[in-house]
Amino acid sequence: MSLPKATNKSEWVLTQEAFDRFLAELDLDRDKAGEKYEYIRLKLLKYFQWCGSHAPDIDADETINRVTRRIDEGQNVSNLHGYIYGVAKLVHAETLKRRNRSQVLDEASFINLSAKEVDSDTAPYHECLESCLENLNQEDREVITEYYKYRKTEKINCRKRLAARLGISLNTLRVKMHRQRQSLEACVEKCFTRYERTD
Amino acid sequence: MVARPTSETKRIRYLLGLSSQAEREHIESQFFKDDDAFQEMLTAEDDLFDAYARDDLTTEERRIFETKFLTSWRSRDRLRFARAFAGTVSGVRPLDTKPLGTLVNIKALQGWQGALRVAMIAAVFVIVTWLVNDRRRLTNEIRTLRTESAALGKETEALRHSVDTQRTRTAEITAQLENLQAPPDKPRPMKGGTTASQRTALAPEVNNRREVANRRRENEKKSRQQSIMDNEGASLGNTSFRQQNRELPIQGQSAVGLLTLDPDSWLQRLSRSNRGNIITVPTFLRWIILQLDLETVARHTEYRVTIKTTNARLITSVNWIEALTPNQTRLDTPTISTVDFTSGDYTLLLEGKESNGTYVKVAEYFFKVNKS
Repeated sequence: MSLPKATNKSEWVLTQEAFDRFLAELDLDRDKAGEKYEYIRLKLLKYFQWCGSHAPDIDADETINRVTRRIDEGQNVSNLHGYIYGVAKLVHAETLKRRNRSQVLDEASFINLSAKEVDSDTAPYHECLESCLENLNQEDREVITEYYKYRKTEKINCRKRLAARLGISLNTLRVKMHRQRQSLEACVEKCFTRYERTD
Repeated sequence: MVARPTSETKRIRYLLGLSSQAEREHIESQFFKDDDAFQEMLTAEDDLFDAYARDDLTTEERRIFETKFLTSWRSRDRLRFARAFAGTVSGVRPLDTKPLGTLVNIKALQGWQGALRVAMIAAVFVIVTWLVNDRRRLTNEIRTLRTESAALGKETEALRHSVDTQRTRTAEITAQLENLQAPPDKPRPMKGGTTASQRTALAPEVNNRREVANRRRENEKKSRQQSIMDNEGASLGNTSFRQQNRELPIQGQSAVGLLTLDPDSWLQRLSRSNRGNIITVPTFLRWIILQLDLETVARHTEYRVTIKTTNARLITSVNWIEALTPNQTRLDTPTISTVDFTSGDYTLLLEGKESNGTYVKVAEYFFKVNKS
C-alpha cells in the first residue's frame, strides 16, 4: 500500500498522518483498511477507464488525495463511498474540461490499436496459455474453463449451475473467476515475455 | 449483441458508453457502494472482451469497443489473452454439471485404461503362443527333413553301389563280347594286351555245346574224386569248380554268344597268402577267369597280369581296365586261355598302371596247375 501521488495544483502535501486518518475511516483494522483502500482504488481506476479517461491512474490518485485532504482538514464524511464517487465525478468533469479547453491533443501520443494488430495466434502464446492452465489444479482448471466456455444466454445459465454445484453464490463465483482469470493472464504474459526475450 | 439479460445488457451498454446519464449514475453509484455490483461490472468487462474476441458484438459495438478499449498496450494484451483463451476453452469438453461428474469421468477413464491393459496382455499372450507353436512346428519339420535326408542318403548310396556293380558287370560283359568277336588265337579283349606267342587255344564251338557239357560233367566228377584224394588247396576253394553263371547283359540280345561261352568259363580264386594254390584244369576247359584277392583296396583303373612258369617262361600277359567300386579288394581277370597251361608251377604278377603310364607291382601269386 503506497501513498497516492500529490499534485502540484492542490498546494497540499500528502503526509503519512493524513493517509493514516483516511485508512482509519475505511476500517479501524489496519490490514482490513489496506484491503479496502486497494479495492477503492481499483473501483476508481475502472471508473475512469470506463468513463474514457486518458490517465485513469492519475485521476484515481487525484480523487484519493482530495478525499484524504478533506478528512485531514476535519470534514465529517458520513457516506465515504458516496463521497469518493462524488469527488471522482468532479475530477472526471475537470479532466474533460481541460481536454476540451486545450484542444491540442497529441494524436501521436495515443496508442491506436486496431483489433487486426492484436495477434494471439502464435504458437508460443498458446503454449504459454496451456502451460499456465496446467499449473492450476484440476478442479480450478475445469471450473474456469466451464465458466468462460459458453456464450450469450447459455453462459448465464451455465454460470448459475456452476455456482450451485460448487455451493457458492454467483457473485462469489464471479469474483473467484475474475481473479483467476487475471492470474492466468498475468502468468501467460510473463511466460510470453520470457519467450520474446529469449527468441 | 443478441439475447442478453436486462442487467447484463445495461452493464454492457454502460461499458460501451451507450447508457443514459441517469442510468450511468445509477450503475456508478451502485458499484461504488456495493462490492458485488462492482464485481459484476468487472465480469461484464471480461465478457465484453470475450464477446469481441468471439465476434459476438454488432458492428457499432465493435467500433465503439475498439475506440474505447483498444487504446492502450494493456488492453491489447487483454484482447490477445481473450482470443487465445476463448479458443482454448471452446476446444475443451464441457464439465458435467452433475455432482461427482468429474469423479465418474475419471473412473470411466481408468476403466478404459484397464481394459486397454488387459487387451494388450491378451495380445502379447496370443503372439507368444503363436511363436512357441510355430517354433515347435518348424522343429518337427526340420526333424522330419533330417530323417528323410538320411533315408535319401542311404538310397543314394545303394543306388551308387548298384550303379557301380552294374558298371562292373557291363565292363565284364563288354570284355567277353569283345572276346567273342576276337580271333581264337587272340583271347585278350583289352587293347594293348600282350598275348602269349605259344597260345594256340581254340575258340569254343557253339555247335557242340552238348558235347562240351557232357565232358564238363565228366571232368567235374573226376575232379571231385581227385580233390578228395588231394586235400591241398581246400581253403582256397579251388578243389571245387564253381560255374560262373553269367547274367544276361542289358544288351543281351545282341550278345547271344556270350551265354554259349559261359559253361566253358571257369573262375578260380587265388590267394597270395597261400603258396599252395592248386588249380585243376580239365582238358576240355579252354578259358578260365582268375579271381585275385588283394591285401589293400584296389586303386588303379588299369591292371595287368603276367603269368610265367617258375623258370620264367612267359605263358600270357593281359591287361584290362577295371571299373572300380568303393572298397574293392578283389579283381577278376579277363578270360585266360588254358591251352598254354600244362601241369606245373606258375607265378602271376599283378601290376597297376600309374597316372604317368608306368606299371607298378601290386601283388604276386604262386599256383600249381593240374591238367586233367
